[in-house]
Amino acid sequence: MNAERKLTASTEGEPLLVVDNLRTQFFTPRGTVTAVDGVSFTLERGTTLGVVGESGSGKTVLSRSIMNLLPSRNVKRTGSVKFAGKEILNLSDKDMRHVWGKDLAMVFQDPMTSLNPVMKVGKQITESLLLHLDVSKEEARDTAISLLRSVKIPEPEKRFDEYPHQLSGGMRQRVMIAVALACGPRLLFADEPTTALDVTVQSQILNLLQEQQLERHMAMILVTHDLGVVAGRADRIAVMYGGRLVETAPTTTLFDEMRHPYTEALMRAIPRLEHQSHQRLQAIGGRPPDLVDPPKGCAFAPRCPRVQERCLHERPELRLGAEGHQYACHFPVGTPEGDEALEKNLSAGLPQAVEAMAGVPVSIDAG
Amino acid sequence: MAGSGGAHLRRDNDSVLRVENLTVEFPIGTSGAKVHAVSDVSLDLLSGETLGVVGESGCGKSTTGKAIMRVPPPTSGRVMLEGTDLASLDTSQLRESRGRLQMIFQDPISSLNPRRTIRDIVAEPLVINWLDSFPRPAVSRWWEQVANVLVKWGRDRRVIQLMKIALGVLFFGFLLFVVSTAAADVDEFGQRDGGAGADLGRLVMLVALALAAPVVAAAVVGAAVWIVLAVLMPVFSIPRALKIRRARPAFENEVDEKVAAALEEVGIPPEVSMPKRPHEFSGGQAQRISIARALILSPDVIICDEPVSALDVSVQAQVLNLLEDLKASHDLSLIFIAHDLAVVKNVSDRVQVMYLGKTCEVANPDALYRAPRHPYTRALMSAIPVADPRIDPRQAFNLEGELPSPIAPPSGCRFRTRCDRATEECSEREPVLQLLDDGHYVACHHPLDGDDGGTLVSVAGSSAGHNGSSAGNGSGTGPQIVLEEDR
Repeated sequence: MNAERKLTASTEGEPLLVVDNLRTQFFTPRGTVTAVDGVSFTLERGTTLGVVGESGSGKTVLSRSIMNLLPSRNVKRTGSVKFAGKEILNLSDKDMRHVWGKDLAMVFQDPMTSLNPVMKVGKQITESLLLHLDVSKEEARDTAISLLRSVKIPEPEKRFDEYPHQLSGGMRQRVMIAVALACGPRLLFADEPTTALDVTVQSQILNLLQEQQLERHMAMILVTHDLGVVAGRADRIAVMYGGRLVETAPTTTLFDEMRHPYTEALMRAIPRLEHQSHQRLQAIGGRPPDLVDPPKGCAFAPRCPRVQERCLHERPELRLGAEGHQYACHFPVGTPEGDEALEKNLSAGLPQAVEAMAGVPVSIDAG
Repeated sequence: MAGSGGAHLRRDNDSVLRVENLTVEFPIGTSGAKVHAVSDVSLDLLSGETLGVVGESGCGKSTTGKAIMRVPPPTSGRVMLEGTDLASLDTSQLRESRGRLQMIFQDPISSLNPRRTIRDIVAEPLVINWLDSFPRPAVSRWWEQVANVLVKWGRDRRVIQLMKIALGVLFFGFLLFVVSTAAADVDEFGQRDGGAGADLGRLVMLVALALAAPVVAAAVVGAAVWIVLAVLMPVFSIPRALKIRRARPAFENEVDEKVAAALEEVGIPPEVSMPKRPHEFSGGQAQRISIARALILSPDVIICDEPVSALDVSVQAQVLNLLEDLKASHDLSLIFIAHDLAVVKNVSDRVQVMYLGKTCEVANPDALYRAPRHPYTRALMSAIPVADPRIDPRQAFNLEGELPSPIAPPSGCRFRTRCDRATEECSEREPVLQLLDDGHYVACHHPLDGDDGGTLVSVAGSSAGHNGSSAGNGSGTGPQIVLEEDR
């Protein structure tokens, strides 16, 4: 489904977004938290990047660092973020106002609290139109109503004059999307856009985002904790853990040749419809690392079923596999050394290895 | 879907919890309009079973859970816990039954009091139960009963009506008296005598006072007794307070042990955690603490209201596994409420699908997945994100539009406004739950065929061919063809 999009992307020359060695640090009373630690990636025009990870993996801070939405006090960002060839990491808030909404826009996680409760829905959409585009109030109103229509809000003329509390959660998220799309941004950040919503509304919203993206030839960064959400929708997936990218690959490659044990664990933790009921889920034991005092070696080592002596001392760097597949692991899944490591841990009775192998998934369609 | 009926209730067995024709309505102001949150829902729960209740927001699944707990009590319908109707219990008996029926809530952090320590939070049910075990002095129990009767009286619509009438009559008599007096001439003593009019006015006022007298007297006596008792009650309570005080140290030790054991069971290290407060824990840990709190009175039934919806997938798996383990080790029966059918399927023995306050389908989870018979179930199933990049999520049976208003729900089948199979019949007659095949109940006039692999074609890819043989009780229509028809 992505062939034509890729083609257009490559003809347009330079990538839309280049993030190079981005590092975001917060200075807290407890110490320095390195929430994003040396993340690099590029995003082509009109494509979707899915950023996946648990709470605390730094995925939200990553998108806010790129958007320049973090407070200026007690935060340090280093590295480089180039949007359409222009460095935007060091822009002041004043300069960023010309970029926010117009070039970069964001849909936030919680539609209940992200809209201004004392401002009519319509005004929240026209606000950025009037700021960025040279339009009259009437034109802005017409544009806003057609935006509301394009995000499939019934009776847009009526909704224009309503307040957020008069809308359901799904409707509010649609309004958020309309606000974000108002000025035709070239890159849309969707930060867990559906986590607060029901499954049915989730699929409606994700479909809507995808439609709008195709229509507007817009790039999108879709941040989520659920691999299922990005599976059919992203062109490329980046898995984050402990503030670092641990695996990134084109979507099909990632699902076919999962290399990092964390990606595999995330995948196996999802309850699936095609599994028998009462099938034991393969939870990832333990908790994400403390980013104030991160482990010296691989951050996933304490929870990893394939952990070896080497993982505790030496931090694996991203290495390149086939077709732009990158992963940071000494003993990757699906390789001889990885299997050997798992065997060794199994025979040694390492708890997380035994747990990981306890419920080998059985599909009711098997056989 | 969206049907009524109790065909799916199992008659001859030991159901721990049985809910019949549960209806919950919330009045809107004084307009007479109502939110029909739950309309005529029945369910039953066998010992050791997990019943999954699934549906979108606004389908009434949480309201059902809360109505079972009687917070607030249902508008109508029966809730039987091991054969006793919860509505027939008085306050103290209901408090006792709470030990057997517990609840876990959706948002783990906000369902724990931020100002209390974990130990106190988990111990609270024990403490309440323990305090209840000390009989209160006879006077206070007696007074409570009297006060209850008085309050009930005072709230009785007929009494209020009587007082209103009495007040009206009093005013009318007063008016009659004043007007006829004012109209009369001044006599030689400088007085006015209203004559017959004034006399009638006096009489009317007397009647009004006589009407109101019992209520006023009861209120005056009640208030007087109240004041006396309010002074005396602490005196009467002294022996009980002393008893509690004497027993406290031993009890606190026992509580420490029990709380530690409960925390241990849910995988929270007791020593370090007991003095901490909820904000020091992550969502998953806080949910474990909620589970410990629900477990501490060794309940028979736990109602889990979206226990994992606020959690990440990895933590979600931990909590689901924990619930399964605890269910086995404590011999629990669970009602598991969630919007994600995949999660519900994982933990349930039976699944009940709800839509806008009605039941659509009840079945064993594997049967439900193999062959959903209700169009809504199919939509719900196909909305679940599939972790397979080769499946285009946009090809699924997407449910268009929004949930209709529960204030004026659609006539007939409540799902018909969003259903692609809806016909005239669906708007005229409400479907009733009926048995289709073994243990599979559906409330739909036009159920999907048993071998309609519609969803499955898109959800499980290659499984389509298999469906025909495994659930092959239908018309023999190939799954692919049905899929085409449905689009």
